Formats: sequence, structure tokens, C-alpha cells
Amino acid sequence: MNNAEPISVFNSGKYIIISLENEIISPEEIYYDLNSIIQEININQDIWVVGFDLTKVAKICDIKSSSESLNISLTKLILEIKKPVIGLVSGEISNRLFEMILPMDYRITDKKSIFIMSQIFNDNMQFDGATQLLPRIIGLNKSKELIMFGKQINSKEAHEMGLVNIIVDEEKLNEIFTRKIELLTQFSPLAMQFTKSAINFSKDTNTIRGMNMENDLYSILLSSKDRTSSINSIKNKNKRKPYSGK
Amino acid sequence: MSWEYIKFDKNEHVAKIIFNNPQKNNALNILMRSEFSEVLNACSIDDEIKVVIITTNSENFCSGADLSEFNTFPSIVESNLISKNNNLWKDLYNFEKPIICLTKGWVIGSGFEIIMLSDFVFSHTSSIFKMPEVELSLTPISGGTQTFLNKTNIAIAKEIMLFSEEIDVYKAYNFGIINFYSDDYNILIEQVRKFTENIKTIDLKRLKIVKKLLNLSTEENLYLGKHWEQYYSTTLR
Repeated sequence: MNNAEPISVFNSGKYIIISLENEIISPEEIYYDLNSIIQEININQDIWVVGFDLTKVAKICDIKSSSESLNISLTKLILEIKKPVIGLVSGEISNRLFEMILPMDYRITDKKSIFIMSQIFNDNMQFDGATQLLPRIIGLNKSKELIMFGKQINSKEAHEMGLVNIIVDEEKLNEIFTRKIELLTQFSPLAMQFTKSAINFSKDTNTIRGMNMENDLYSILLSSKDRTSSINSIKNKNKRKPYSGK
Repeated sequence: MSWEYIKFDKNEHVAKIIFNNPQKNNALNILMRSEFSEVLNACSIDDEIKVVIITTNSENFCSGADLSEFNTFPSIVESNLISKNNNLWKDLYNFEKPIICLTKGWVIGSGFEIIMLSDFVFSHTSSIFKMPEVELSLTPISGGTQTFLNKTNIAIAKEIMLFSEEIDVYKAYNFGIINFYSDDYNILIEQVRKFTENIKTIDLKRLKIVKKLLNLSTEENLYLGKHWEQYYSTTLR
């Protein structure tokens, strides 16, 4: 993978951190690079966890060309990532930047961050999935407050709503971000991917169909080398070998 | 009838299913699951029973699946078909009468998923909730990936299932996973008693329909759900 501005990529082997480097980001500017990075993440079995560091971004602009607007969706790209995605944000998380964190699986922020979607006041509206993704995270009532009335919330309120998973001190943002990512690299990558996939599927199906899918994914995992070695180590009371993702 | 790993008690309209595998912290083995299923079906067809309480007679509610039975099934295909066709978890989800779980100690893996399939959860403060599957290279198989979203939101579901972190009763209460908690088990039992006493006077048919409609709200679109509510409401008049 090439490190290309305005996106930088840190690849540790088992995890990858994608950082957006500019304060003001235009979606067109990053979309195609991000698309190739994500395609590689999905096919590269050595990458188990993905982190998005968005702390340097103050604003993601609207798409300039209306003809391209339907094709350029940053949230759609993130939704396509099969591996767990952890997002790191700080400061004022507004509009398109706010939308960009919604498809991530785990969100970390600091105590001073604020979250706002003010499109409604600017003869504008959400573009990148917020009307669909936000209610699935914080429920319909609170989503309407945020989207229809442009209500601003602080980190504490965002945490209480379930919009962010953890609030940390500003100076510890990177440390906790890396620690959370590294924690996930201790777990079975296949089990994480399958579990993520089953949870996401549950939004789009009824419970019984979802349970059948869960059953199928569980059965596929039965033949994995990691699963066999994990169960054998428990049975034989041995220390478990690190997972291989095979 | 008696069962090896399940104790059953019926007092007027209240049935109690008590996990009884204390040597293994109520880990669910194949026989225990089969007995649980049998008792649940008996509760389902007994019209005297209006509410079922699932609880433990030892220090832990349920420590999940019995891992000593893992890797013993001859065929993956066979195991998949059996669990799909004879699925205790679907029976729990489709159970028409209210189910209350009264927990203490470990509520792990399938134990956690059982409370997510129930309607009300009363927990002692000793209760520890955890989904350890991804840590063990497993995925949930008792409906967890589907039922968590019925009670809580997707961010919390992912936090619990992808990070395998233990959560205590306070967090579980804030997440909407449990309904009531206390550090005094007797207070908890009294709360459950009052709760089941209230149910005594309610018409069973109405109770079943309201539960069905509420579950439907997580399944169907709003207009179809509203249609069924009007339909059932009219037929009950």
C-alpha cells in the first residue's frame, strides 16, 4: 500500500491505521485511494483490525459535482470493511465528519468533543447515510433531535446515547486507540469477522432468519484451525497458541 | 417427571425452571439443553402456567456452553442441521408466555444469550455478564448476534460481542439489558414475586398477544405491525 496524502496508512502487520491528514477534506480527494485501501484490507488475511484516526480532520466538505455525488459515499466504503473498525475522533465532529464515523464498530473520543449535524439550518440535508445509520445506533427519538433540530451534544451525552463507546483524556487518545486495536488482535480474526457480519445482518432481517444465519456462520467456523486449537487448548489446559486467522 | 440438570417447580400460575449443574457452574451440556427444551415445551402447553422464571440453585446462573463437549460431534453438516431443526433458542424466542430470568454470578455466553431471549431480567449485583466467543475463536450460536439488537443498540452489541469484555449489573442496567438489580437476593426474589403476582390477574391470551406484538415491533415494518395490533385488538373485544 502506498502512503499518499491526504491519507496516510500505518500497517503494523495485524492491524492497519488509516489517518486523514488534512484539516479540510473533500470526499472526491480521498474516495478513490480509500476505496483501494479498503479493497486490499478485505482481501489481505493478515490484516485483522482497522483503525480510522480522524483527529486531524475539522471538516469534510460536500461533494462539488452533483453528477458524481451518488457514486462517492465514504460511509459505504467503511460499511464494506469486513473486519472490525475502530474510529478515533476529537474536537467538533460535525455534518459529513459525523456521518463518516457512523458505520464504524467502535468509536473513541475525548472529553471536550462535540457532535452536531447542522445541515438543516443551511438549506441542506444529510447525504452519507446519517438518516439511516444514526437511528440504528441511538434510536429514532434521539436521532430526530440531532438531525431535525440540529441539537449539539457533548461527549458525555454522546456516550450515554451509545454514539461513542469510550471517552478518554485528550492526551491518552492515541494510547487507548492503539490499546483497543491491539486487544482485538489477540482474538480470533475469523470469529470477529463472522460475529460482525451476523450483528450487521440482524438489522436487515427478522430474528429467526438471523438465527439461521448465525448458525451457518458458526458451522463454517467449526472447521477453522483457530477454533480447533482454541478448544483443544482449553480441554488440555494448555496455553492457547496465538491465532493464525486460518 | 425428573431431570438430571434441570429442576422444575410449579406454584399456581408460576413455573420455575432451575439450572442444576452446579459442579460445572451450570454450563449447558447436550443433555441439559435437551431437558431445558422438554421443560419449556411442557410449560408452553400447560394453560395454568402464565409466567416462567428461569434461575439457578447455585452461585452462578449459567457459565455458557460446556466446552468439554466441543469437537466431539462427528460431522459439521449434521451438527448444523440438528441445531437448526431442534433449536432451543428459537423455542425460547417464540415462547408465547412471559419469561423472567433471575440471575446471580456468571451469566456467560449462552447464559447471557438466554437472558437476551427472555422478557424481564432481575439480577443480583454479583452477576457478571460476558460474551467470550471471539476470544475462543467461536461465534455466538444462541441468537446473541440477533437478539442483542432487540434490547439494546448496535454500538453496545458490538462492544459486548467483539471486545468480549465483562460487564457488571450497573452497566447492564444502563445498556437496557436487565430490568432490575439489587445487592440483596431476598429483595430480588420479593420483586419477582410481586411481578408474577401482578401477572396472575391478566388474561393469558391477552398477555401472549401483547408479547407477540412487542416482539413483532423489532421484526416488521411499522405499518404491518400497526395492522396486526389493530387486528388482534379487534379480535379480543
